[in-house]
Amino acid sequence: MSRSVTLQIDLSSPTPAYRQIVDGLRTLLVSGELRPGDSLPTVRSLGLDLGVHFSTVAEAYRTLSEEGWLELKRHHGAFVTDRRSPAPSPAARVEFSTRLRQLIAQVRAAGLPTKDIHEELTASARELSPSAK
Amino acid sequence: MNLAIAVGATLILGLFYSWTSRINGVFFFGRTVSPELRASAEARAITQQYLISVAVSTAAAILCGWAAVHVGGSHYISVGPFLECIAFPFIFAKANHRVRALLLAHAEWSASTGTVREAALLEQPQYWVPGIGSILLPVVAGAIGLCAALTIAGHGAGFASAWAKLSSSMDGQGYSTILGLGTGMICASVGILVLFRTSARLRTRMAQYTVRACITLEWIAATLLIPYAVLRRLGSRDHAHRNESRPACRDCGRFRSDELEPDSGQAVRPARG
Repeated sequence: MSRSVTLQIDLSSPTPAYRQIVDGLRTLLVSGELRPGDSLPTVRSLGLDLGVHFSTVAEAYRTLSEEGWLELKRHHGAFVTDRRSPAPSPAARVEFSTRLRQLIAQVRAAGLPTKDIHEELTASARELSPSAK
Repeated sequence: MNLAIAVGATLILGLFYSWTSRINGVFFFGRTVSPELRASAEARAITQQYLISVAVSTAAAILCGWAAVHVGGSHYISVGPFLECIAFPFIFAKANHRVRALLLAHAEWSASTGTVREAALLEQPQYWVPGIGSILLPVVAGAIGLCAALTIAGHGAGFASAWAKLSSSMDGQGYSTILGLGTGMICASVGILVLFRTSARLRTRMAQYTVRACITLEWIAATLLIPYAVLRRLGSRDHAHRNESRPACRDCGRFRSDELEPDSGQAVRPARG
């Protein structure tokens, strides 16, 4: 049975299209919706679908390839690799903490109560955990 | 005879180009539009302008071809079809541009080009996006066919001599028309494919039809050019063999028209004077 996995970006968002593609694909990879061996579309094909230049998609694929998520094959698109999670580094923890604090401050400023933030955080962490699959 | 073939080919091309605008109810000059928009007064004005342009370019191509033959000789017999094939992508691109402006002015454009885009990742694409290699391969094949013809015609005597021999051999058999038609078809197909390649509208059924038709047209043109080389070689052999016993005019180098064909079964009359 074929799975349906879609990537969505907002061209009017202040976040660059390249960053949205990287973040969107990484979320799908971490959540397990994209599995090792899956074939992604070619950069030209995905660029046409998303309405961005193919070099934007190529840059996103390269970034994920450097992170070890994708294997790039010329003229055949990209393939999801069987990536093993690296040991957590102190630097990654500090970066996560900083970004999380900024994000929480942003949503608190928007009026979201602490209880909702906590629930969302727990749900997201559980959803993106490989053991949850 | 050659002139009649060239005029006929130019007219057929003109009719074909007129027909392309009516190929499908939702496919309008390379863009997908609703039948209502296609039936609007603005859309009908675009179609009318396109048909007038095609008619004018066909007439101009016939006139140019006729003038070229009368001024430069039968070597220029393929000018008409060639000009027609070159003019078409420009006329089509102009109509395509006007349809885009029309779509921009209507709400359906903004609805179809919202800022949120979505792409299916795991479904293999059902649409074929032609690569540069696919587009240029028939061109290369046709060029190889022409190079082979030049090499055969020249016998190592250089490009200019080979081209002159090839040109001078266009002797009423329609070879030049094939040459003009083949090169014109290749140029037109490549132009349309390059235009379509840069368009996101490539992913519609009718656009795919056009892309595949253009690639097929390219290969037909390439296969026209390759037999051209072979026929040219056979024709030149036969022509040379038949002309061995015929005296040539001192002024123009052509064979005397009042001589009968040696293989016609009739006696050859001696030249007068």
